[in-house]
Amino acid sequence: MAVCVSMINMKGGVGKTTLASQIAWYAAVRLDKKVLLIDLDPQANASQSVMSPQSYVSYLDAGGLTVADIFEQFTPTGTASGSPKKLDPAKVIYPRVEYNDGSLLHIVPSRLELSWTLRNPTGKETLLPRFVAKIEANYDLIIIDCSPTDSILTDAAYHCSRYVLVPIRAEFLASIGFPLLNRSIKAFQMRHEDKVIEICGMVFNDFTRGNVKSENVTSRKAVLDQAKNYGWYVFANDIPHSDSYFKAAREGMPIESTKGAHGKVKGEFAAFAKEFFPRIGL
Amino acid sequence: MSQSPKQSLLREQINLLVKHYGIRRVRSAVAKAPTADDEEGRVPTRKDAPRSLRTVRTNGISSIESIREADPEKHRLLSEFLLRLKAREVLPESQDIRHFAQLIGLKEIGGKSREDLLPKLISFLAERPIRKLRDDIEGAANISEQQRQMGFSVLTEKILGRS
Repeated sequence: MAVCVSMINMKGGVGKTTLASQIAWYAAVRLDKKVLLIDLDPQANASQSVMSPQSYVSYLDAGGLTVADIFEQFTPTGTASGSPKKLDPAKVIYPRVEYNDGSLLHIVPSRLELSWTLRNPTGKETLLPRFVAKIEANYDLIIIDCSPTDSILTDAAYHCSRYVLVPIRAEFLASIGFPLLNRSIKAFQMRHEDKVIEICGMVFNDFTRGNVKSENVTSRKAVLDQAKNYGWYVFANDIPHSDSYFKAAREGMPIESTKGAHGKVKGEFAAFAKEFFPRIGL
Repeated sequence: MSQSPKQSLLREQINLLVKHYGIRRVRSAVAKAPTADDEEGRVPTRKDAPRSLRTVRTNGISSIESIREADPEKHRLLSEFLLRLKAREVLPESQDIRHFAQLIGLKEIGGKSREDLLPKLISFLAERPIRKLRDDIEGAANISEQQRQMGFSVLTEKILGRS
């Protein structure tokens, strides 16, 4: 059975998508795992960065299904749509790469129309976990890249997940969004007492190396204090900013195969990965 | 009189060289090679070999030759693809080859230069089922730095509904 981890932070721009993509790549390439990345953000950036923009557009043009189809599979589109039909899970999964040793990286792409689900969300939060239940035996790891909202999409991710990973930036607004996440998870756990979900940790992400300015230090301390208060683990290995992550996204590549990515950047990510995977049992 | 295994191997290699480069280029390479006197007391290195010899060892021909009889169609496809690679008509830069390798599932492709990467790529492709090989070769034509740079405009066109 696959381990499912959701990347969640109510604050946008903290690097959820970049981290989700690179964790997925690392697990497939370095740990030889079977990995499924589910893009649960209507902006579809994870889809674009893992599939590459050209492949993503070609996939949509060819009528490829997306995570939006999972949520809207029973929504009638008009009287002509007739009886509801079962969605074939295989048709929602794009096989990005399959290696000879059996490891692979697949993705359930997203698209802008996923935001329509938010307009009429009633009862739809169980559709994603039902989909995951059907396919999880095929994978070792499922990563869900969430949108920065507390919505039915977040609830659907909670339902699927055993762990939540929280990327965070050491800045004032990020530290404000932090309690919102804590409340969101607590509220979900109170509503679903049978569901076990755990914060596997929070990681400082996308900051300037060696920034010792007081604003940065103050924000970082505020976040650390809150994490301690909530009993959340903070990863010892941070992931500082590098433009190479943007290049990796543009090219649809793992950071370690990205031309021009500095060895230090690759090393920093690998150090985080070596700390992260044991915490989720991989 | 029968030949020793070393002599047989040498003859086989010479035949391969002549077949690929023609007798004139092989003779020319041999003429430029250092004599036994020059070599006395020195261990030869890879750089000592004439460039043509080095190329034969590293350009993936052996992978292609190994399937000539068992799979003539694959042999033809790969031979044509190799020619296009050598002419830089496809995957012109080493980063293009790395990108292509990731797309087709070649996990480890160590090496910096295009010369280092090509034999590993060809060896991997020689093991692919022919249907996948055809798709791979077709896909290779779409990989270039220019294509990668176009990502933003492709998405913009799609989102704005102009494509």
